[in-house]
Amino acid sequence: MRKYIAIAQAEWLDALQNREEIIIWILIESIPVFIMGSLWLASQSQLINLNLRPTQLITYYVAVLLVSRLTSFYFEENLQNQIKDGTFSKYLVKPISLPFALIPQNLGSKMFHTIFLLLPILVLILFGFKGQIISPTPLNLLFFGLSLILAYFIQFGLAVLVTSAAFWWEQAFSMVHAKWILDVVAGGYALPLFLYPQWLKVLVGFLPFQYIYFIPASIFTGQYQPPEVIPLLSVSLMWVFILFIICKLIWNLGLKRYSSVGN
Amino acid sequence: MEFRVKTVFQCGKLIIMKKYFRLYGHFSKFAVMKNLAYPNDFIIWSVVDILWSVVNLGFYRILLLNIPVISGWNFDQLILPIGLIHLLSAFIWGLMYGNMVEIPKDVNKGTLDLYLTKPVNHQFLVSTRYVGLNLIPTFCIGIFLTWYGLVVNHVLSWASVLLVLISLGSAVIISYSVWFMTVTLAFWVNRLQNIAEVFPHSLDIAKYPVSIYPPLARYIFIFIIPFAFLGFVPAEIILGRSPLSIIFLPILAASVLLFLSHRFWGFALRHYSSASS
Repeated sequence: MRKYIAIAQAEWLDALQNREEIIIWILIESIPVFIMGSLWLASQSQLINLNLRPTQLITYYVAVLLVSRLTSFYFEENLQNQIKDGTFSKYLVKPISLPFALIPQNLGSKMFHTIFLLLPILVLILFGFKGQIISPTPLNLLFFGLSLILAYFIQFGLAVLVTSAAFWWEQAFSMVHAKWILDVVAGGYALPLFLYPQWLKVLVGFLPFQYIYFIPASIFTGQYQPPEVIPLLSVSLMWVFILFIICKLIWNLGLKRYSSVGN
Repeated sequence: MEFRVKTVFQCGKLIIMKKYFRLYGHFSKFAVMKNLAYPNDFIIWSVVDILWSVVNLGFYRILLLNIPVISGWNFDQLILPIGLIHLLSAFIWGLMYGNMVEIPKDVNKGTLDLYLTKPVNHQFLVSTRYVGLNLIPTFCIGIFLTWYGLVVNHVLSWASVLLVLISLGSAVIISYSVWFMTVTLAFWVNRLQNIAEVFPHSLDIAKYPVSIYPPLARYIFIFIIPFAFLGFVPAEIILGRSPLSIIFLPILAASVLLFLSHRFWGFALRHYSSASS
């Protein structure tokens, strides 16, 4: 356990080193919410036909931002490159079990970014869209928290799968993009899924991506009644298990395939 | 006598121009060679790129299925500015991004010296050394969308094509100049290595008509950082919603901003104190 705390600490310090750059990230990450918020406010009159209010949609994007900041992983490309050039071997000789050691590593920098990046962005957005954001009920907030934890592990599973593509395929970077594309298309990252045409809604329902963004964000905005939430969270949990099993399988197969170039 | 001096001067200018074209030719050739070394990477990148374009277009489609008009623009009309922005983004991510992200690093490490000592315009050199070819598919999709936008709105003519070229040219120069100025700030804020990311990430602002934004932001996006001139104002002119004379605004903005970026770069270089070895 102590070694994993050390990993988290090292990541925190690493993030601290580049603290000035946070100012730029705050700016960059607020822009999409600002754009979409402005768009919905400007289209207010047309939303009435859809039985929607701009506040619902703006809150949705704030919730998506919360989810993506709190659950995302960033190791895929880095680790893929290390697998390709053989520097990956350094992990194999350390007394840590690899895909799981990436969790404490992620939590270290996540803690830093939550305090210094997410909070300022939220303050900025709350100030910019004053009165346009619905605050969730305590019960919804609790459910949101639960769905976030599940989303975190789904993200982890997908990130490990994407990374392990590098054991087999030279152009595995494309898998990272494929995941991002599915985040947008099937996750509801850019548009809430209730705006999708029926056939597309059904199609993306077979994928785990909506349990990362759309479901937690909808719980946050109060789209679901409490009795509806429980089955959704169960499906989410099911995805966590499925991904866990697939990851273990694929990762071990990948490790067997892995051969580094020595010097 | 005066005449001869003038011709010699003009010839000199032409030779200098030729030198820069030749340099850029070499950079491009180098890029092609690099890409040919990894042909599979190039193919896969192209596929990824096309997929992103499709997703982007699908986003607008679904959006416009729900709200049929965005500030007076329906889906067919929107295709034209989307096409223009698509063309622009091929330049931004293909030809500019690779150069812009390197500048703050060079300033920080002191490797900028390598470029300052070359007998070529420094601004040209640091802005053109990397040529990315991965964005060729984006460019083609941009051409297709723009063409389709012209056809579906019944404005396809040589005059429209000329207007597209003019507005694309000025949009490229405006983007380059604003971006280059923000990157030049790296001379003072040395620790902000990610400063080059700000401009390409705010380009999404240009993907919507400026009238959706709050009044203050609208003012900024027209007069200070003219995102409005990158796609929607030219599209309005081509669609005949604005008078033709408005086309001078993007051209004027491009010239002023390019001049400012050049002056600002010169000013910044005086603050540059390399790194000791």
